[in-house]
Formats: sequence, C-alpha cells, structure tokens
Amino acid sequence: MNELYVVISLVGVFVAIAVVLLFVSFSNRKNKLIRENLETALKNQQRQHELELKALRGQMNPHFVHNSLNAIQYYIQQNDVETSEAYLAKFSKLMRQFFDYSRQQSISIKEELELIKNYLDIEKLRFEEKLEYSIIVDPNLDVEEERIPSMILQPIVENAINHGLFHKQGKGHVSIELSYINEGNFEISVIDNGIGIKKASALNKNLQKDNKSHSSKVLEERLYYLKESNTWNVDFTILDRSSTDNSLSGTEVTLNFKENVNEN
Amino acid sequence: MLFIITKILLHLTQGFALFFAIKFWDRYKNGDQRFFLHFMIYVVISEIIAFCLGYFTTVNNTFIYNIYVLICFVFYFYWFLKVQPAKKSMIKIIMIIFIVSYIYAVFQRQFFSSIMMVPFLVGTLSILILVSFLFTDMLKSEDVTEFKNSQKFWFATALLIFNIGFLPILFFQSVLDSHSSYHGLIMMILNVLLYGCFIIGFSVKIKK
Repeated sequence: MNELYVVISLVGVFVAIAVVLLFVSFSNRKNKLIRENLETALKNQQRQHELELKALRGQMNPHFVHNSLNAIQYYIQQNDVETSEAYLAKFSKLMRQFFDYSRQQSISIKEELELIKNYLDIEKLRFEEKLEYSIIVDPNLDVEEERIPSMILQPIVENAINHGLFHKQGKGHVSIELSYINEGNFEISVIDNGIGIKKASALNKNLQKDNKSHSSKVLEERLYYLKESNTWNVDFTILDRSSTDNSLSGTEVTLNFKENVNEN
Repeated sequence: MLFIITKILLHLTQGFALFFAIKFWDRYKNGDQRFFLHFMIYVVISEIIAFCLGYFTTVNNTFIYNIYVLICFVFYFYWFLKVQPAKKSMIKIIMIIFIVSYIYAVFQRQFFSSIMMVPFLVGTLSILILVSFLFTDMLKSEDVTEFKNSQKFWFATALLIFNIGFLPILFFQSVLDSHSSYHGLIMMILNVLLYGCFIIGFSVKIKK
C-alpha cells in the first residue's frame, strides 16, 4: 500500500510540474512576442507618421508656393484681375485641401482627383500652354466610394512636371488614368511625355543613382509602412517609357491597389 | 465497485473524445491532426472488443492491449513525423528502436500473457522526448501567440500529461498490483486527462 501512495504522489507531482511548466513557459513566450510585435507596430506607425509628414512637407514645398504666388502676382501686374482672382481662389482652395486631407489617413478617389486638378490648374499658370493634362476615369470605378491614402498621387504628378516636363522642349502632357480591375482592386497610372526618368536623373545630380527621386523613395517607403500596418496593399512601379518602345518618351508611374485594402 | 466506476468513466471519456472528433471534423479535416479521428475510432473499437472478450468469453484479452500499444505508439510517431518534418531522421530511429523492443517482447512470449512493459517504457520515453522537441520548436515560432487555439499544442499536451504521469507506474510496475482499484483509478485519471486534452484539441477554432 505504501508503494501505491508513493506512485500516486509521483504521478500527481510529475503531472502538476509538467502542466505548470508548460503553461508558464508558453504564456511567458506569448506575452514576450506580443510585446515585441506591439513595439514593432508602434515603431512602424511612428515611421509612417514621419513619412506622412515628410510627404506633406514635400507637397507644401516652398518652391511651389513661391512659383504659384509669383504667377498670380504676374497676372495682377498685367491687370488681369479676373484671372488672378480665379487662380488665387484655386490656390487658397488647394491650401485648404492640403491641410484638410493631411489630417485624414484616407480620402475618396474623387477628393484626391479634385486636389490634383486644382494643383495642375495652378501649375498651368507657370507653364501656360506648355502644360496639358487629362484625367481618364474608368466608368466601372466608383470614385466616390473607393478610398486611397490621402495625397498619394500629388507627389507623383509633381515629379512628372518638375523632372519630366520641365526640361522638355515643346508641349508637355500629363495623363492620370484610373482603371478598375475587379472588386477592391484598381490601378492608377500617372503618365507624362517628358524626358523620361533616365535623362532626368542624368540632368539632376540630386537624383539617386537608382533613378528614383527623393519623393519617389518617400512614397515607396510610405506605401511599405502602409502595407506593414495592414492598412493598404499598394504596389508601386516606375517605368521609363522609352525602355519598352523607342518611339515613346516620358515616365509611367503605376499604383496598383490590391484586394485586401481595408476601409479606414 | 471503484473498479467498475473507473472503467465506466474511462470509456465515457473515450466515447466523448470520439464524439467531439466527429462533431468538429470539418474544422481539422485538412490538417495534420485529421488522423486522430481514425485513431479514436480504433481506440473505441479496440476497447469494445477487449470488453466483449473479457466479459462474454474466457479468452485472455491482453493481446488486444498489446496490439493497441503497437498501433498507438506507431500512430503517435507518424503524427510527429507529420508535424515535425525537420526531425524526420530522429523520429524514424526512435520508431525502429520501439519496433525492435516490441519484437523482443513478443519473442519473450509476453504477447498473450501480460502487457508488454519493455515497448511500453521505450514508447513512453520516446514520446516524452518528441514532445519536448515539439514544444521547443513551438516556443520558437510566432504561432506561440495562439497556442491555446492550436490543435497541435493540445494533442502534444495530452501526450505529455499521460506519459509523464505513466512513467512512475512503469517504474514501480513490479511492486504494484495492476488489478487493484487504486491502480485503475490512477489510470482512469490519466486517461481522462489524455482524452480531455484531445477533446479541447478537437474543439478549438483553428485560425486560418
């Protein structure tokens, strides 16, 4: 009978120790991993905010403000009050959109396109007849319902003008094309007929060796952190159009919004 | 009386485990744990045959349990092969050692007369080693955050609890009366814990 008690005690002790050790180690490890994941997510979020601020600073760049105000001043000096008023109204609206949208993580495609249209109209002041633009929207795409990260297209359009069309002789054209692929999946392309990214990088020493400007890198990094935080899944591609067809010139930037894009 | 109660409780737990295995089959039918349903069916059928032989005939039903020992451990080893493909070679060696020990016990003419303790001991120690490796790997993986929803975790826990609890019984086998009610009670408790963990394993909502 004594042996039986010894065995019962041993069984109890062994099982109890095994269960306690098992659950304590798994719980500790689980908590540690969750803490680490939270810290990483927090760091990513901080970086994302930094990038959003950077992107905003890029949009509000002093050259753009200076050039726009100079152009408006030019019309005032020419006594063209109507045009100057119209452009001043567009400029103030654009500033307001910048501030409003920068507070939001996502906006509708329609809102983004309105901002782009305003921006391009003001840029037309500077370039006059040298700049033309078109916005082509696939009728299957619901621009009022579908959302995108706020002010994601503006730096791309700005790049197309400042690096692509600025050095081009003759008329420049920027085309923004939005195509519906399937539910929750659509593509936005910004196509210019400028000098192309290869020539632009050769001209501008400030551009990176890998043909990507600073704002493109900021954008790419912003998209990466949006993907990391499971907020958006956007693929970003940049192509010199002459590399596929010699008769073409300019750059094509494509953003592909994938299906698992969440509403924000 | 205690002996009968423990037997009833043991078979009830096995029956419940089989019931839950069938009920939640859709949740795990494509996973590595799907063979646990077939294993549970075998366990219940084996118990029924052993009971019928013992109750209605004069045939010694020990050989049923000896076949059970072989199938049970080979099944567990096969499952470890599935869930730990990186440890394939080690598991195969362990399996060979177990089968050799089983053949040795058969040649000792224990197959029809008594439960073969040598392969039982080898099998129990092997399972404890494999479970420790499995838990170590699980602790290193990201899946540890969802361990309570992991079938693998609950089946491995079941094996750990049963085999670690069974170890003292194996070591003191020579001085214990395996037909006593208290021996039956310990075995019943260990089996309830084993199949209880199986039931939790079958019931967890597997994260896709």
